[in-house]
Amino acid sequence: MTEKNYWQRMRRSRMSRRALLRASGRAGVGAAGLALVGCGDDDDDDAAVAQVQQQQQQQQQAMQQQQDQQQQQAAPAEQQQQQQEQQADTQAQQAEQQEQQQAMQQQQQQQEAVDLSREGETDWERTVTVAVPNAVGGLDVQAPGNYTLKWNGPLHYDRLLQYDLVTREIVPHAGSFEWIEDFTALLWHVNPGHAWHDGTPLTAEDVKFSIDRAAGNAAYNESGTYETGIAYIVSAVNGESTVVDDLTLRLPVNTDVTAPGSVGTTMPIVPKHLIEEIGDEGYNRDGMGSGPFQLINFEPDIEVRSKRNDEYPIGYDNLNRIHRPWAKEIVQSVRPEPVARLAAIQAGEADVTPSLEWELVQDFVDEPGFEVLFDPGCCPHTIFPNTLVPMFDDGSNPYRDIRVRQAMNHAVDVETIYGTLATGREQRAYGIGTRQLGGMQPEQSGPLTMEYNVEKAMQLMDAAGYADGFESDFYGTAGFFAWTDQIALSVQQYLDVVGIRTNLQLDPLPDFRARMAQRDVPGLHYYFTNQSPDPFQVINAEVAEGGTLSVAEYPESGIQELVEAQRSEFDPEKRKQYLNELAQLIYTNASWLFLFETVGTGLMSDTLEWDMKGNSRDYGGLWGIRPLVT
Amino acid sequence: MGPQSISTILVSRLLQGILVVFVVISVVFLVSRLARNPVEYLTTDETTVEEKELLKEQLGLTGPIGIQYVKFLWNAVQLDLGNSFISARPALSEVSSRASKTLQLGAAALIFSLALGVPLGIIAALNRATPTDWMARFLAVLGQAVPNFWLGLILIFFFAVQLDLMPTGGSGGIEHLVLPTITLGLLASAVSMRLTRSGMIDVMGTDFVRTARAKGLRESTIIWRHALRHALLPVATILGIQVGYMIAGTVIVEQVFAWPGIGRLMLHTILVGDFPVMIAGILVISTSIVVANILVDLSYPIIDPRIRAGSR
Repeated sequence: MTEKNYWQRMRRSRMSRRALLRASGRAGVGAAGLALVGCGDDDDDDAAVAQVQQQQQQQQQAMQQQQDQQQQQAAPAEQQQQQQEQQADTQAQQAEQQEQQQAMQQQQQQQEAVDLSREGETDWERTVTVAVPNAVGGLDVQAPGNYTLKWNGPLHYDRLLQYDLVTREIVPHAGSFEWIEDFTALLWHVNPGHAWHDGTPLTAEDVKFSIDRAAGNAAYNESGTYETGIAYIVSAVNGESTVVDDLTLRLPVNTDVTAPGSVGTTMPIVPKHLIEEIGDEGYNRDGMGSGPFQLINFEPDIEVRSKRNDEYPIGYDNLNRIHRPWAKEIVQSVRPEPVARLAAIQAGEADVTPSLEWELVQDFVDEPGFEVLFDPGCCPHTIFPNTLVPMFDDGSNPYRDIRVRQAMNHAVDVETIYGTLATGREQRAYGIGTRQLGGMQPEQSGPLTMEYNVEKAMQLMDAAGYADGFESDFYGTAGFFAWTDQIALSVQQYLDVVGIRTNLQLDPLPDFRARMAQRDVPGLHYYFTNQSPDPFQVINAEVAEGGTLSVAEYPESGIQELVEAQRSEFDPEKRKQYLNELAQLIYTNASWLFLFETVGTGLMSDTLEWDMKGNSRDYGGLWGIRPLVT
Repeated sequence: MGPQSISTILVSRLLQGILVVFVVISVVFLVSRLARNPVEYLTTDETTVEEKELLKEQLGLTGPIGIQYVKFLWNAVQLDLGNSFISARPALSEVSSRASKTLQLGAAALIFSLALGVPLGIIAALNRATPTDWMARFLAVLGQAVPNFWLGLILIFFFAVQLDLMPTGGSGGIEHLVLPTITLGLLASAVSMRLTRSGMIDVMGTDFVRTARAKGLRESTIIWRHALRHALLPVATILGIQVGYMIAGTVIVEQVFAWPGIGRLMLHTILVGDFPVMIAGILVISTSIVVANILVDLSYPIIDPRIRAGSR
């Protein structure tokens, strides 16, 4: 309790005349008692003293009752006033008690928060330096291509929802939602307490502004320079959003939007008041968010410096989600060259880099002073056969035959590939989605796995009428993920054994993706599926008929029916079930050549702790770094 | 060569330079438009064809390439090269904000290369066919043979990680400049050393040096005042080319040492297809090389008085 609060409360608790009378009566009796028994220095009989005190109390009560009766009889108006005063007095006492209880609770919560924050073990004053590959672009989190989207999104900006690292579910962050009006609209609730880094509260107006701005509906921004990652919500909104109150927004949406959770996780909220004041260009230069870290300096391609947001409303009781950070400051120091990032950590200039190739960090596994970071990678490697267009002059396309696709999967020794070329900690890929959100569970995937079996693969090729094999183009990427070129070469060799003779062509990712997006280039396309919390992005882009990268379509398989079913199912459990069935069907249909889920590696000083609860550490997860007291 | 001649040369070189810059940026414009699609970098897997087209239109990448080119030239003449696709800032200001850093590094590397290469060349020439000469020549070959990418990393590990004498990278104080300067300047110093050595060997055998010796001039006066001026002519000639090499070298060196100059910016813009910044960078780089060569041409009469006398 602060002194100020104490005196404020004293002023608030009014003393009634009745209370004054009672107090003076007590004081008089007390004084008489003291006169009778002395000042306590004598060897008096305790029993006698008690008797006297009892008598005095009785007398006092009698006097009090008498006085009360006299007063009641004498003045009914005064009595009423006294009753009111008494009530006020009682209320004041109750309020005081309540305040005391609240203060105790608050103190208890603070203590719990301190315990959760592991105060004694944490170096709260430390600046953590992170070696990052680049920091270019501007600070407008909604603008296309800006570094903030890739590196610093969750560090400086809030989204409506976020991904729970433990339960792997989409949970409230700066907001939550509910369906209304027979699933034709969403009601977004903004959580109170979130504020922009200039102290202005984050409100429903900001959310409306962010959506309008992204959609190009804002009066000043008709061109809609939005980041395409939020295109989904933009296309889903089919009317004017309405601010119901400071913290509530009604958003009309198309009826086939069943994955608003993912929309919320990807859509960053921007401050209306600031952008209206300084404009788009100004915001791109001096961007401001409401996240756990506040940006204090950004020198493009040199450093990004951020300080802890001590007012961040999500505390340490939410350790598995974005919460108030530990490190006093985070400095992202640009070191484009991986070897130079490693050198920076060895030289003590940087404390951590979440992204370093396995070849560079494997020698540090048992090295004192360092900790090698292993993270589940973002993207299962997958090879998509184009089934949309003919491969040969006679109009045939071998990949339309499930036996050929099964043969491909049996022909490649996936475990040996990742055991020798990668860290060895990878896992087989089974198609769409995380296991927690519709992806196949281990007990499901185990019996279905198409194991490495050359003999079986050749039998399947034979049965499909391709005993002599065939020639096929094979497109891959170079330089996007580590080893993709080597993996592609390995796969090429494995496929060659069963008669699938491929011409491999490796291109930079943008060129590769542009070709794949044409959807009319026959052959194999070595790409990746996205491990986003909700698999809707992968489904829309790579599975659904007509998807932007959907080259492997199987109209008779029932896949599209399941795609539609999950799209129109609003019950999360039922939708999850559909997704699980879809995942199984995609695998049993041998829709793609399934390789493995990547493992990312990095390096960190052992004076830090960075527990992301099994989730991938990336630059957006820097809020989770805890400097240890050394 | 009188003042008239110098101005004639200057005008002629400037016109040639403008033509060179024009050709360079035209080629870069056309090649980049044909080879790269920046929309692919700026979009995600889920971006639809319609959204990509819209973005393409916003970036001014639609329409016949000829029309795009004419528009580009018209704007370029007014020094408007458009805005960066990534940062939305004017492309020229993106480049100019980095120019001072590259200039700093380039100048330091040039001074380093001359400060190391020229004296080493003189020493080698004066000690011809001795172990000193062999050592100097070995160093020159080494300097030319070692890729600056590899050299940079070796220097980082030795001086920054092992000895903890220098920072591993970044910019700031003078200490950040040391390793990139050595990395960038070593190749140029090797070239300077070899040219100085051969020039000095030739000059030291000429009649006027013998005459100078016969007149009793001190050896140091002969070397520094008479011989070196003549020996430096090929070094000066190669200097213009070296500037080009150095600017090209900054792309790698700035990447290794996280030096925030034009070189690194260029690498990034090429990777992501940020055309406006890429062309602005090429414009600045090609102009720098042209200017450097003009300066070299103008320096001949100063270095060798015979050229001045011959033109009269």
